[in-house]
Amino acid sequence: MMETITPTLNPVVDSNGELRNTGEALLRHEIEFLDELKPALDQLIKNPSAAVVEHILAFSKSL
Amino acid sequence: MSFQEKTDQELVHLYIQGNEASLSELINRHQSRIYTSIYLLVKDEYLAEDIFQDTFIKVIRTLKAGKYNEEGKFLPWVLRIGHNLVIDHFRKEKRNPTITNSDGFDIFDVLGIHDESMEEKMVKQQTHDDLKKLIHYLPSEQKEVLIMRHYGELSFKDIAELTNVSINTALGRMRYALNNLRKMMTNKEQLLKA
Repeated sequence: MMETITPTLNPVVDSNGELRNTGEALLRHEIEFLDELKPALDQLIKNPSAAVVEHILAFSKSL
Repeated sequence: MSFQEKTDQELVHLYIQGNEASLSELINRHQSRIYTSIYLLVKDEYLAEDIFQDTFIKVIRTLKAGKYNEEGKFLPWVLRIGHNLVIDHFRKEKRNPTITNSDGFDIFDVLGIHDESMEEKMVKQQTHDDLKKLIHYLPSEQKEVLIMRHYGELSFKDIAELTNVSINTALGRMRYALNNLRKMMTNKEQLLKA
């Protein structure tokens, strides 16, 4: 007797409220791979210098 | 309620009413995502700071002119302005943006293991070097979607609107980016020798 295949494409809602594993979202293995990359991608996060932020705030106050 | 507890929309309202401190909170809240998204596309800290500043100057002028569309979210709106300024820059420069950095910061430092052996260090270093090169192979539109999705935490609907493509196209570009990265990581020896 042939075994039935367990579906793996049940929609799952991710943190952004998007449906996963549907035609309008990434597939599970793609999300898992992206999750693997995330720690490395997070290490690239940078901030602008304080001087730039101060300049922006000063510009705003000058208007 | 403190500024930190207010929504972006509430802060925008306060700013429009003349509360300058609310702008400071908005910048503080989103500067990392906005700056990193710009920086990874232009690959230059000084240029990224210029574009970041120009982005907020446009934001400020739009808000103070009462032209802000409250139906949209604040962050995607600011990212769209920044994205357009990056495009303007490359149109002027006529060169292609890349995701990798030039200031020595290593995307794969996070993969480091404490108390690793010399061999492990060498393997790790080689992996870092290889992957940095592999990312260069991603087409710019795929890198762009990866950046917007990860750093901007944008939905594919937002990315589609930002890049003037359909949701399916934005999603497809992300899939290609991930699949290409995975394939390149698998076949990196042949690829890097070519």
